[in-house]
Amino acid sequence: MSKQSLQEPTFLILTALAAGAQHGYGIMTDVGQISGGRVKLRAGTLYAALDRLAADHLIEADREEIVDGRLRRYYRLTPPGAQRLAAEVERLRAHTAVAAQRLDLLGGLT
Amino acid sequence: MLGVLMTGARAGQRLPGLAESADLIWGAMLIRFRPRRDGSAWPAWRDALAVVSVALPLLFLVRFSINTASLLRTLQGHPALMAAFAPSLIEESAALVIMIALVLLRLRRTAALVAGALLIWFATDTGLAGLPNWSFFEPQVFMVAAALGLEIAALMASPGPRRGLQILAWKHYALIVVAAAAAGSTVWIPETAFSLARISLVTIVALTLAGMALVSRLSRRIMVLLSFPLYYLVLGFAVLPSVVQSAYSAESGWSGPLRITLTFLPLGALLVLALAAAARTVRHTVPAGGQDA
Repeated sequence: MSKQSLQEPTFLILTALAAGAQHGYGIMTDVGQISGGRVKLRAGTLYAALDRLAADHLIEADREEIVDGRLRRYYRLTPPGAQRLAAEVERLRAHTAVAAQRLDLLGGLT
Repeated sequence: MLGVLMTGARAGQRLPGLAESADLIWGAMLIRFRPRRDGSAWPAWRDALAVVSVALPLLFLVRFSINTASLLRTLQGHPALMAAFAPSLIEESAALVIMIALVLLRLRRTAALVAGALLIWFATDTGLAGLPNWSFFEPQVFMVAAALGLEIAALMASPGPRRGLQILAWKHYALIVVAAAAAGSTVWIPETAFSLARISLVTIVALTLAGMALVSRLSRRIMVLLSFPLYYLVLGFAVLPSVVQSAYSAESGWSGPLRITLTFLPLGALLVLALAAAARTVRHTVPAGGQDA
């Protein structure tokens, strides 16, 4: 498993799946909501990321359903994926705490 | 992917946008060429592609230098002709220098984009895109197009120059330069001894490929990859002149079925290989039930 920090889209995908298994379009929508509309995933980018996360065993296929005649696959977070996300959250939390403290010292924190 | 695209389509939207289409193709390429971790032979081919991504521009630079020197010698004393050839020589040398620089700087994706742009420019400039205008289908044209296509594939499907430069040692660079110089120097053989030039070129290419086949498994894979543009090099200088009346003739035989078959044979073989590789990949990586794509 990579020890490098997660890229934002990857972090948001894992965050979306932390709430439960979702299909591709659901993940796209959820990522948009979590990021306040700032991060917009397109289908190709999303599935390349899902393929990579599956290869790294951070997510896995949960189930498949037929909806409107199309096969829809749901993905879920794996235990290693949850651990990876938790580690990233702690890392970001530590960084933001230091940044907030220093801004406070500067008198610039609102 | 397509299911997600269709689910997210606006009311009344019938076609995907340009950005969506480009993103779909890019995502599919990333998925297709992502390194597999199943211990298959793919890593060995990726190393071969990485070496090719460095060696191919170098081969062309050496060959271009020798051809240009020969051309300038021929045009000496003819300033008007020199001026006519100058723009294309400047364009080609600039393209090669840029590609070599990007490779040495290990800028894999940028080099692939530049190679893609060069391929498009080359195809439109030579009329290759003007199907079915058969008279433009010179093997030399196909050789350059094949080399650019191979370079793009090598850059996209491998770790690229970063890995290639790790593998290559000074003796490999020396061999590349010697082989390219030997093959390129056949242009210095006078036209009156055209048969000698053809035999020399075929011999040099055959010896180089035979040597590569004997050295190692990696060099055998590199040999297989380089055989694609080398096929057109040999076809243009050696085979076709012995099959039809003249290499530069627009007479009968030049646009005939034999020439067309010989020209498109490797492309057909590549297509079959690509389909077989894709089918093999699908069988090994997609579980029963298909994908949400």
